[in-house]
Amino acid sequence: MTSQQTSAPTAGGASRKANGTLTGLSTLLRMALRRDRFRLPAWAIGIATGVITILVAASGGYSSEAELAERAEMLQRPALIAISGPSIGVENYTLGAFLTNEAIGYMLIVVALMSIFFVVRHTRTEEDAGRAELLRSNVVGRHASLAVGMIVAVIANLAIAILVAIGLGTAGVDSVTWEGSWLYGLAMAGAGMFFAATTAVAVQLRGQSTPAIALATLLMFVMYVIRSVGDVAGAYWLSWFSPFAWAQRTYAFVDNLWWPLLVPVVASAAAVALAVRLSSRRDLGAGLWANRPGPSSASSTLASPSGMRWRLQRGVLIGWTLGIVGFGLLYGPLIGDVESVAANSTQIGNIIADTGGSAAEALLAHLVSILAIFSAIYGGAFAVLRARNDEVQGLAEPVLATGVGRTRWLGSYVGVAALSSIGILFLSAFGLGVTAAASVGDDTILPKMLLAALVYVAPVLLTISVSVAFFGFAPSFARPAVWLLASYAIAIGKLGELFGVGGWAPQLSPFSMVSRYPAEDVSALAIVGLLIVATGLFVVGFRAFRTRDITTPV
Amino acid sequence: MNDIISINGLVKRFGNFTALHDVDMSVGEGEIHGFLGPNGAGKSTTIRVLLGLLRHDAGDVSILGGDPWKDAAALHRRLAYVPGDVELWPSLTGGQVIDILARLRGSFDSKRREALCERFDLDPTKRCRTYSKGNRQKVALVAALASDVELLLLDEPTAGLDPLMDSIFQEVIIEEKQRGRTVLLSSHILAQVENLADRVSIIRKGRIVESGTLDELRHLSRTAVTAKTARPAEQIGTVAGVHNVRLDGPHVTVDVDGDHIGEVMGHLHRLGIESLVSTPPTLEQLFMRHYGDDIAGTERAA
Repeated sequence: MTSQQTSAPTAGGASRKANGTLTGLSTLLRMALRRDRFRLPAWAIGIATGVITILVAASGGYSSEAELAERAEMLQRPALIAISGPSIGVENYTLGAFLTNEAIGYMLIVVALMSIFFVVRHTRTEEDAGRAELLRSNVVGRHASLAVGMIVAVIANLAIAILVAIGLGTAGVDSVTWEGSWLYGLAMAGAGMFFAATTAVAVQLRGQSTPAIALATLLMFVMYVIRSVGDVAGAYWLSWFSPFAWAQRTYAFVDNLWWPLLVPVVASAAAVALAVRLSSRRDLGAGLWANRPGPSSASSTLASPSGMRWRLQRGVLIGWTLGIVGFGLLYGPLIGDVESVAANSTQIGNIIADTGGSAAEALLAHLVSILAIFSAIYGGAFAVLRARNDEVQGLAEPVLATGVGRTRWLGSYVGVAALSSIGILFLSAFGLGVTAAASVGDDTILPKMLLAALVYVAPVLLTISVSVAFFGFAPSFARPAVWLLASYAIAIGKLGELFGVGGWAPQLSPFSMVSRYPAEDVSALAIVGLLIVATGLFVVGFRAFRTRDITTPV
Repeated sequence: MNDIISINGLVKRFGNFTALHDVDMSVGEGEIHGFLGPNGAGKSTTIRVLLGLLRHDAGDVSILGGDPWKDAAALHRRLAYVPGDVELWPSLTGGQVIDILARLRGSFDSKRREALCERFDLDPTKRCRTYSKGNRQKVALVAALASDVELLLLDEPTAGLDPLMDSIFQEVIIEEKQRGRTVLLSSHILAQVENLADRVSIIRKGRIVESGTLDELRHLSRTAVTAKTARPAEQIGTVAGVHNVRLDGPHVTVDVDGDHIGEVMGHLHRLGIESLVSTPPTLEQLFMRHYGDDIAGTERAA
């Protein structure tokens, strides 16, 4: 059928070289690094600073060996194994062991999110935006952009490793040795690389960026849970399926094992190989999970701004709800264990919560606030800021050109975000309350959990209002601002509060300002104060949005 | 004649939806081939299969003598593509994008790049986020036209250009043909293709319905004639080759088959012509007449 060519492809070396699946990689990589010349250092420096801040805060909090020993004793209880680590170095607990046993889990969540964002940004987002088409129609191999995404993520993770190692090594804490610091940094980077590799698989399965991010984030939560369950149950073979465990089992600052670093390297290579296979089978722009056809007309509820918001966020909302509610359900059953221990040792109860309440209540207060922070991240960093995505993509323009005013348009995002966040918060607190009540055998826990959720409505709304205020004035800073707030609330607020370290710094977190109910009485003053600030930020944000230019794709 | 593009029995499915049923098409060396069809007919899908961006489910496809899926990158060194919707990196300038695309392809004439930027009136120092749709299209056009390639694949390349730029585009394409390049030009505007194309393939609902030189396709064209006559043209329906008579007092509008236009003119002349407008058919009219499609209202990318 094909007739003979006078201009047959230049046979031999040149054409074979041109036809590699990585052709064009160096040009694409240079372009990617140029596009990320601020973003990449910002993530790396931010995360490294977080690790170092935790060490500094902890060294202030645990100034004596006795305090560390008390902490170590408590850490062997299942509930704390679940939220921190497998009792690493508890025989002679040091600040270094604290970093590996407790702090790394929190930091790896952030590292994972960074890796997910970078891989999706350079693969699926490019395809969504139609830019990949222009590149792939050029002399660019099929897997070149996947390779770019992976390489950028690995560079970011290695930058974190180096910054963390130098930061910890020079911190001047005895137990935090240079060898341990390098191992610790590389362990974080290894886990981060594996999250990047799983994301490379996720972007092959899902046809758009947002579902791909959701799938990759879900995988991360699953792996978090796997480590908790494996370590609590003593089924350590199970823990080995989680990158959270790989990092902790380097026993950095305790035994300094280097060989566990090989695990993420091998596992990442396997995941990338799978991604490459999947990628060879699919069309550009498509996912392997096919899109289904939908209805041909819009119902009357859909044809309103709020109706549209609900419909367009349905999938993501369901994903977040399942994730956060699952988190609550998972930890509830462990509460009974804490309660029985605390009955024998008032000391442990007092360490968990340096103020009042039983051990179980202190842990519950801690867990509800974590649920609240996650709920607030969904509302503040995702649901509200869909408005920004839509604006930049030109989806706001056609709606604002109809009878829908700006206030109503933005209001629909804010309303849906607030209701979603609060809904997730109550649902997850309910799940935690039910399972915790069952494990402790105390029916009063459930209403207490619901009241606790009510207390956290104020900081959740405040987080969303921060997002709205930035959306009005400086929309590009809105998402970083929410992430900063949430990271502060977790890294400084929660860790500081849980371990009683950091002095006044944890109290700056809005999630720590409101009382730690049920461990403490509800502080109406803090709640009212936060609500007033939130209202102010909402008003300011809406006003600013009414007077600024709409960003449109030209 | 050597076929630069040869497609036989091409089938492409997206899940349950079959976008291309059975596409046959051939493009010879050195020709400008018009690829016509309404929105959603399968033009872009066909071109994306030719680029190896989509895998086809059945049929034989060959481009520049190679397999578009297997030999993608090697073949792309010898062709250039301009999509209908050009999306660029907001933080890079147009000039940077042109250079990146050029560096990837490897063959590039920087003098020609300057000349083309000037001709298309494109400022390469602006960031892409400030470019209009037409300017983004110019970036892709300059990058494609400045490359030393054998084949140009252009998917509705002038959708965002104004008439002046459109005519410059037509000049440039004719120059490309004179330099011996092959061009596949997809469009839903019949007039543009008529000016440029040696041969035409018309696609409708994933099937090629007509293919040949424009002369061979004359039978498809039916001219619309609107006239005002001294005496009402009540009998015009009896003239051979006349269809779709709309009579309103002295005004009459009819559609006339290409080979009967003289007889209609004679008939109108005898009634005393006061004004006369004759319009060549648009692709939309052509489709409505031949297939009864209402294609004007559907706005979906292929």
